[in-house]
Amino acid sequence: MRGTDQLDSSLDDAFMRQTATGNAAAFTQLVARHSRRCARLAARMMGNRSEAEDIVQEAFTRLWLKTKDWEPGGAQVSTWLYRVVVNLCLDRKRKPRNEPIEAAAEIIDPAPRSDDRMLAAERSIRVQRAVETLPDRQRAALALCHFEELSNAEAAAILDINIGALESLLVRARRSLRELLSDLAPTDAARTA
Amino acid sequence: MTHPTISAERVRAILAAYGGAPQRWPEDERGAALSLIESDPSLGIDMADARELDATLAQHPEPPALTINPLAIAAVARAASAPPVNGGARRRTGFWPRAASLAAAAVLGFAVGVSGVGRGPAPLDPEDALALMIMIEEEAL
Repeated sequence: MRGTDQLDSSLDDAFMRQTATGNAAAFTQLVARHSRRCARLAARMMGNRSEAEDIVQEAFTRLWLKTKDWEPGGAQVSTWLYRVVVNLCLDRKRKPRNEPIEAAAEIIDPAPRSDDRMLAAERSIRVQRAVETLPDRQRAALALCHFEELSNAEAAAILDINIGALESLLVRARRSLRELLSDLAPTDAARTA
Repeated sequence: MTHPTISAERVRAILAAYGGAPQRWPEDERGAALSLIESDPSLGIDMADARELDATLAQHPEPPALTINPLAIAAVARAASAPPVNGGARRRTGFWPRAASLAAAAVLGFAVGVSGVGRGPAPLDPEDALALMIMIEEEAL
């Protein structure tokens, strides 16, 4: 573990200890430190804002309940949280959904745009839909490694698989996306991003 | 061509899995992979290829800001972890999802910008707050 990671981890352990005594301010710190990434992960996996919000709320509720038997120096809070978020997302994806089709993917802001921005929005929708067609575990691996840029060891731990299996998920995900998006040449702006 | 610590085949496998941006590659193989790519033009082509897909994926929209309310979560979690006063099992199922939904809608907390800076506190919706309080009180009975 690198120095900054170790410091972050010790800080999280301290907040966990304080939260276990009922200190809501310490819990607020944990939420502030980790919710943004959890929210991004849930939103990318679910493609649906309200479901992503529910999942993040539930993950942090579970974190609060976990504080009483948290072992400092063991698992990292971030890894524990991402694993809960991923599992909640996978559970929900397994359940039949009755929502209307138009509610399924709502990440894009539909506000009126100029031609260039309309084109960029259309490209975004294409990419988003292509990612949504991936099998759930491939999408989870891509969200963790590509979009969140977690290390392969952390992503594998979150998905409870070995690194070879993680790489296999990633290779299949990227191969499918390459086929689905082969006609979508990246814009100069995206190329330099 | 084989590098002292990594093979061309392994570099291709890294590019196929992690894409063309070295910061996403396994840390312990990054240096050797970059060094081999510099000396092997065919790997440079594979890397450019992987970057092309990375650039396409960069067009994936940023997820929206979500409203996360730590105080409401704490209230819900406290209620859920409180031992039942009358010794009975919890009377209702589905408490967490409903309470969590209310917590999501409640106001005290702050919105967390998932793509950047978080927004400030939002006003508490009185109906949601009341429903949350009633639910927590009922659960504690």
